[in-house]
Amino acid sequence: MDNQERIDAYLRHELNEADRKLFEEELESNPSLAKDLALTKSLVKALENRQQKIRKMERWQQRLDAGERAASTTRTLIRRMVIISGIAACVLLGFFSQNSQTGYQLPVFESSDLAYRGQFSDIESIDCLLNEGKYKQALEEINLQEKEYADVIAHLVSAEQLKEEQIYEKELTEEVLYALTWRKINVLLALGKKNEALQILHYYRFINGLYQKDANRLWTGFKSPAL
Amino acid sequence: MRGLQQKEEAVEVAFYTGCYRYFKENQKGLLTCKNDCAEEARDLFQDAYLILWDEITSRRIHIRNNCLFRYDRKGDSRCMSATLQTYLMSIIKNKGYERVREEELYVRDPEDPEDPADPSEPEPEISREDIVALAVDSLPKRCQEILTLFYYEQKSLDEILAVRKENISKDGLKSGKSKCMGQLRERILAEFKKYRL
Repeated sequence: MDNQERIDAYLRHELNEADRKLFEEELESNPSLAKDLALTKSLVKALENRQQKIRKMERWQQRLDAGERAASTTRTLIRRMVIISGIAACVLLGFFSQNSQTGYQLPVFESSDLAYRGQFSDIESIDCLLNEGKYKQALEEINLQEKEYADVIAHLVSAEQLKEEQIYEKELTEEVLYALTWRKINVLLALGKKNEALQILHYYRFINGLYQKDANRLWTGFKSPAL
Repeated sequence: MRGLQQKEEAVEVAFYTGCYRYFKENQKGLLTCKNDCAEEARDLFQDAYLILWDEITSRRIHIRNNCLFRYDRKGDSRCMSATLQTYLMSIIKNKGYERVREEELYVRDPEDPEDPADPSEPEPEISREDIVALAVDSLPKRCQEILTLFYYEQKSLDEILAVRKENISKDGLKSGKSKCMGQLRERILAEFKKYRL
């Protein structure tokens, strides 16, 4: 048996009484053996700490995975519902199509521009209505979705302490709301509700985001004497 | 850094989450697997994260004069040019490299920083315990597993053979364990000498 094997047997309580005594006596006279024993004890301690850390990481990872799964399921569900209802709305309301009487030219909305953000296919149906000039229906849909998303945020904000996945959900919902508001401003202008649109635009142009430049341009345009 | 050193759970979770998300966004090209890389990715990430975590808790990485410092191979404290997340990615890269060539004795030291330390603040001390932890982190995966099964889970060599399902004899495993201990001892003693412990 080499020294390490004896140390292992000693630490694992595998030595008989006589061998254990002999080993402990030798420890006092053999500094190299004592040093190796101390090192092995440190190793056992380090392995214990390491396992604790691994268990912690596993726990965090499970939480992260659960959050990601939940967010992905919710996103898929919302996306499917919105696409289906969007298509249905386009087909049904196509008969009642209305065109703008105000002369305001809306930009072309493409949800695919926002697809990299993951959530924005939720407003695909609205873009479909807007691009077909069905502004009244689009506004109704926007108001409905705005309320739903605002409720989600209110519910999240009321929680005492947000979990990681809830913070993520809140951020995503705020981004969807931001995109919805931009569409609302445009559709209000198209419907001739200039004052209402400008009231929203007045604050909207200060929010950092994808549409900030356009919002500022629009604000400047409406405030200029030509309009 | 302080939160991690003081083992504050909220900070630990937030740091892990941030690092994992950063890794997920930047993992392309780091993995060797062809299909279904999720498990390999997580395993590699956690191995590397443990090293970073141990380096922070042991104060091998520390803050002085509003700068991140890290002890290099010679035991000198140097200002890091990379962020912690970039540094983590370099550990992951090296860990992946190490797995491909597991027989390699020494893990490459990730990204040696360049700027020497400002001596105006005292360097934090590294304990023997921390050095042992870091030495375990630096061992090849196979050694970590064998030593964990033997010393932490208190399994016998026969039981380890059954768990690991390796095609080696008991003597082969015994000699493997002995080599792992040899590597570990060598690294620990070199580090002790470097820090004059």
